[in-house]
Amino acid sequence: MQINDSTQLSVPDIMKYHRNRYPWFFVDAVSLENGTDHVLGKKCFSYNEFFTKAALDASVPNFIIGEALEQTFLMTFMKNNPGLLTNTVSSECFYKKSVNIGDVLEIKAELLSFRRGIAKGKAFGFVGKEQVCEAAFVITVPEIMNNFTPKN
Amino acid sequence: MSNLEKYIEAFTTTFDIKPEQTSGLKYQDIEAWDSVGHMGLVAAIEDAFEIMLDADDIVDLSSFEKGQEILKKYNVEM
Repeated sequence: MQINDSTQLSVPDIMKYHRNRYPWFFVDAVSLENGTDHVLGKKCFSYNEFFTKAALDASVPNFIIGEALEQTFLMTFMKNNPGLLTNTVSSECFYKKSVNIGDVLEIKAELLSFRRGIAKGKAFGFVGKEQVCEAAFVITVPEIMNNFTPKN
Repeated sequence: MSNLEKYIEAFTTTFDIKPEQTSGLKYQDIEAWDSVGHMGLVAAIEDAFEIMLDADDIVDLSSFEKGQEILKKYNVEM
């Protein structure tokens, strides 16, 4: 599939670009903003999610929210590197308000830099108009990065 | 700040080491100088000297001393 800056991607399309799979797949749709390094993502948290069986209340566990932010952020640079393995170097998440089962988490992810296989950027999560979380990421693409490391 | 001081500072800030630990230091001698640390070091050197290193030079930058040799190609004398 050829991707361009106005592409809307559904789950089968997203899975062509990054390697997360059910049950650790937390993006329902993404769209790319014209001519920018921004990606908009969406995740609808339903009662069918596997983690609701273990949940003590109606809130979505924070690490799941962090995953949704990260998986949307991945699309900011994986759109040009489909299918490559990624490694998370750092992931700093801040959770301001709880996200409840039944909520739709809308995510705006921004790529700040992608050089030599290292992506840096941020993602912000909203429920309705209210920002509920944000995160900063450093993620590597080893297949690219290893082209620039000394050989022993 | 001299070029040598800038060069040493790139190592000390990237790897959180003391200046006296830089001499003789090689790639993967310390935990911090792994593949990700290497990219951080390259970025720090590029910022310090306002240069862009070629891919081959980034791969060749395998020790503190080798880096000094490489920087001569970019007219950075220590």
